[in-house]
Amino acid sequence: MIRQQVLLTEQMRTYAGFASLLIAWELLARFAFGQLYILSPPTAIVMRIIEDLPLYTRALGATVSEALLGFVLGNLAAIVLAVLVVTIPPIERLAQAIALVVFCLPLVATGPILRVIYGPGWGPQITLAALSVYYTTFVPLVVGLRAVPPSWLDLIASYGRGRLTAMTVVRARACLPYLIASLKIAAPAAFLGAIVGEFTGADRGIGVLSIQAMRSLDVDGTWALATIASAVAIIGYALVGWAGQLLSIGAPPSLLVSPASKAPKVLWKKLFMAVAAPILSCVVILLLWQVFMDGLELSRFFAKRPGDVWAYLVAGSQAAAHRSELFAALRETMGTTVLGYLAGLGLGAVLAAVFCMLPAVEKIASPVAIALRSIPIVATAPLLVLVLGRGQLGMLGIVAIMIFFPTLVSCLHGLRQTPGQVIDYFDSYQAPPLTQLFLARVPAMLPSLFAAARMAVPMAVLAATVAEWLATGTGIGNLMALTSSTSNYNMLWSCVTILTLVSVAGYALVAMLERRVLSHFAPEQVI
Amino acid sequence: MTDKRIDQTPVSEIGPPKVEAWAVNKVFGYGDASVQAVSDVELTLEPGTTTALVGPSGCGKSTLLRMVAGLETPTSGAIRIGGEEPHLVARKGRLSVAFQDPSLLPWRTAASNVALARRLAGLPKDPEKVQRLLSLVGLDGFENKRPAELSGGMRQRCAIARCLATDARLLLLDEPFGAVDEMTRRRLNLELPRVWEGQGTTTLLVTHSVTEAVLLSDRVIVMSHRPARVSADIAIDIERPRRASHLTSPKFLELVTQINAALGIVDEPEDDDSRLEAQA
Repeated sequence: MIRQQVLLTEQMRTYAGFASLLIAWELLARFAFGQLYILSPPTAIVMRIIEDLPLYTRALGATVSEALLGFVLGNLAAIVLAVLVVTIPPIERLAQAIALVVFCLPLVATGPILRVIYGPGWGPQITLAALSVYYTTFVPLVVGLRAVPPSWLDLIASYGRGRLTAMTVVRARACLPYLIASLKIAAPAAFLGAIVGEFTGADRGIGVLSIQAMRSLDVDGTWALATIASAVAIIGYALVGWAGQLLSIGAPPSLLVSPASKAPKVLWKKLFMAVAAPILSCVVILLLWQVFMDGLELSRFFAKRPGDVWAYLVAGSQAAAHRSELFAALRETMGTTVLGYLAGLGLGAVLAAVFCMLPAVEKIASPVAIALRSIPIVATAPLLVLVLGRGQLGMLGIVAIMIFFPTLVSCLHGLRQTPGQVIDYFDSYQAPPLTQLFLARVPAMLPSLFAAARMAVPMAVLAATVAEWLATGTGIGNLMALTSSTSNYNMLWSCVTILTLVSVAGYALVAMLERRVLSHFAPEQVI
Repeated sequence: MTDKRIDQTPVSEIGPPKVEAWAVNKVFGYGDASVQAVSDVELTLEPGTTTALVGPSGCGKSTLLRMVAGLETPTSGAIRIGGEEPHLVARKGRLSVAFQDPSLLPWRTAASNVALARRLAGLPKDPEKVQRLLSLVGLDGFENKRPAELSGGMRQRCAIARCLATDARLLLLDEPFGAVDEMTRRRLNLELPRVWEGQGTTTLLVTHSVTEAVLLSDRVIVMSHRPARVSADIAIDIERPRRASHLTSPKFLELVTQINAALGIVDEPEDDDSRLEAQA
């Protein structure tokens, strides 16, 4: 009885949290920001949704269908590749490298290229949806398929059975908690991919309507569409979670292990891994690019090959001019992106620590944060542009918000990982809360913070380029928008290549920092 | 082709096998980082007997058992089970291993964990046998419980039932009671051997409990610290079935003392404290 009552009050607190947020919003919109045309009160949003229901339903139907197809295809690809990697370990490094590069492709620029390749229709949206779920399923799944106690594998081997039996009897079931956790994240991500596809030129869908509403300064409409997008994303997230509960699949023990494989002990192997393996990966990726384009017999006019980009940026007579144009735009983008990235990361970590110090606040704020985390922020970019303005500050805000929520949720999770015994130990000395925070909880949070920081790199680039594409008219995002509308495909492909390289380099930099820091604070997380 | 014919021989018609090991060495790693885990072990397990391997922890006795199970390959030397190579015997489902960790699959019920052994060994389903084994180890009424709902001792008994589900004539028990508390362990020591005694199996038991070794086996082999070598080979001539009363019999205590002495000789490093005190 008592337990039920406690649960009830906790639930009520959560509801109270949401309700007070809504009321504050309504009041702010009605009285404080009424004249600014940026904030719509919840009641006006609901009215608008009811008014335009048929239009929104049609658009939503298109976007959800694209997202669903992309979700299925992207996850299937991830599952197949993860199973292959675990069954045939030598291909892992290459597969990881290719997966990372695909993850780092700037979706905004990939959209228009896919548009000319596919022609009109849903192709680009579906592909982008698949691309945006692929990596976040692949990486945890490889961890999950591996996270099997060695004695289970010994059991299989003691009956003389091999890898295939281990896969079907043990690994396939043992990885399910990891798979469900990834699919939960994948549901909103697929929706995001589909919407980004729509931003870059489609004839119907929520993304198309959002841009129209933003451009015509239709505040209520923009808010209504962002609300619909958020609701659908949260519902997708919840549906997958619910399916997992139905199949009684719990949460995975930990999703933090960095994807790098075992470090070799022999010197020449170390050298090979450090130097030759990345080069080999690059060669294979370039080869795949070339073969893919040639194999599909795509026109050289819009489907550029590695050689074209090389000629355009390095070997050609105009290369220096092209380079300076591209890098000037890149510099413009990078300043704001890095600032936004650090701001989002820092805010997320600091707020998580604050929540941790104030458990009463955490109880209310944590569910709100988790709900907001599942909103694909980029899908609501038109709204953020409307609210934050078209300048660099707006772009900084979009990048920071994009990164803030996943970081906050991840750090809250990490802070809860502090072993109870350690807390008891500090309590036994009556250690003040701040001492406890810095000496016990923050070190336990670091693996989660770095996991979030790694994944946030391509996210930051995506958010920045979307903001530039839609609103600011600056930087590499704008350059890509211009070149795609003027069919300057050489420059567009060059932008894609350079942005991908920048993302991969940023990811590698964070991963390197992660290994440095974790080998000091959490050596068990460094494989 | 001949292999296939042998495969179809019902396991129950095959007697308990003889296990032989000649000059077995096992080295892990390469170069400077290499560790010699087992050194020149010669061993013969007579059909139908139970042999215990005891020795300090990390002495390589588990490695030896794993090589007999076909889970590791000797660096040099050879092991034969009834004249065949271990991994071939394993592939025919004719040996069963019980691990220190019961390694039950958490998403399967007790009954389906036991049934899994038959599936892995390529044997037809036999729900009645599974049920019989579960009651034999005292898990009546727990067939449909998952491992998380069982106590540590119950999980261990479930693992033993699984180990017996294939009628294998060679049981390899790697500290099967290592993870349960002392009281449960003693009870399992007395109860479980009755399950496999009398059905004719060759059994190899790895343990670091001297009492358990004497209580369960016909012969105790004491191994020295790394690399593992056979340092004593002691016959246990106490009548079966063994009972709790044996634990306090003079014969039993004498054997325990004898084995402890054999272990004490190789256990010198543990006396470091007293030696330091003596020096002070």
